[in-house]
Amino acid sequence: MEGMKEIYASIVILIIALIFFGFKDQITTGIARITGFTEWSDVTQASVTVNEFISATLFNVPIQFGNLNPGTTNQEATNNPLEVQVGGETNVNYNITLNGTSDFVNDTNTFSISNLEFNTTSLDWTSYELNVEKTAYANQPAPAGTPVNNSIWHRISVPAGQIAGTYTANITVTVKKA
Amino acid sequence: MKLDRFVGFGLLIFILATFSIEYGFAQSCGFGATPLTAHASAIPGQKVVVTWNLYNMYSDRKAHIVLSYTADTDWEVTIEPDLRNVSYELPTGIVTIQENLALDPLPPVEYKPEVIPYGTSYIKHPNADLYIPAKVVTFTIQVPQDAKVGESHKFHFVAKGNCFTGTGAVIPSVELGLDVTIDVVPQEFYEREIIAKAPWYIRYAGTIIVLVLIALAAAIVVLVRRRKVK
Repeated sequence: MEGMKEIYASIVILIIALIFFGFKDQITTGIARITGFTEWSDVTQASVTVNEFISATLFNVPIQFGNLNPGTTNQEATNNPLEVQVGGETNVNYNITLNGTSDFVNDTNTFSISNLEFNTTSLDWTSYELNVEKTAYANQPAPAGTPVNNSIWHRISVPAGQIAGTYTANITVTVKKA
Repeated sequence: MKLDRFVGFGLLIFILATFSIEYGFAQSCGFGATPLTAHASAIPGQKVVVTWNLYNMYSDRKAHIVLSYTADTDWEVTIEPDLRNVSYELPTGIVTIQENLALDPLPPVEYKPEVIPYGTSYIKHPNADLYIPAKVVTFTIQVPQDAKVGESHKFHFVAKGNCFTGTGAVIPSVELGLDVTIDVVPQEFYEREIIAKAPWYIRYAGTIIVLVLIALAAAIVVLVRRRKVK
């Protein structure tokens, strides 16, 4: 029987091809998985969150200027400075910002909050602007158990010709985590 | 004799003046807060309850607190206690203000009381073996049902404190804040390894091998037939 060996060989090859075709996915997926193999480690983590505290107390409030004539310029507050005391329990670095939240008002008469200026140990005189936050102290270190005073001086200029009366304005002192 | 009276009167005036100066300038207003940041994971439809402790350890006046918030989303937020009108009797008359709560000046204590009233707490002092009496504020954030898994939103809560400190040209208030971040997560936790993609000749190796084997078998069959023909 001439050529029988070749026929047997081709049948064997076809069977191998069919078997391979049946397990094609498992074989190729196995190859692919090796490329994405990750390491395994048995390290266990422990985590704890330490709560943050912040407190602020204002001393020498409200800010007073007494009786002034229209046209007076750069008159300092009679009870300067405003002290912003950050409590000793504060355990974060902090910023202090100031925001003028109203103009000076007396019934229907007003004058701008921009007539009020502040200064600190590290800043020159800076004018308030209505509803604009201005930084007074930036990135101050957390007090280590002892309260820290941050002094803020104020001065005012009364516009010439301003109608007489008792005027008041509001500011907000914000102490926030730096 | 006259000199003694003069000295006595002078001393009296000095004591009264000193007292009135101290009384006049002892005004202080402020409060404290803990914590300052919070992070939560929530599933769509869940309510996230955030508690915030406010205390008044240092000022000599009651701090009247107004709470508010800003957020980068319009999710429903409720604040407890509610904002309400409260009337106070002062030496100058009755004043009505809006506030969420008022913080009386209270020093830290050595021991927590056995019964702690609703809405108050005693926080461990971070520097001393004491407890700080505090009032608890609650913010409830409703995560909507249609919130998408993976999205994250930030909320900034603010407590603004004012005191009755008498008349003056400029009335300052104190403001402290709490930052809350909420991540929307799926209900069930899962972890799937992302398998790296193999190169094309490996992905199609099976097909290539099968085709080669079939071609080989076909070639053998053709060769056998040619031999038979010869």
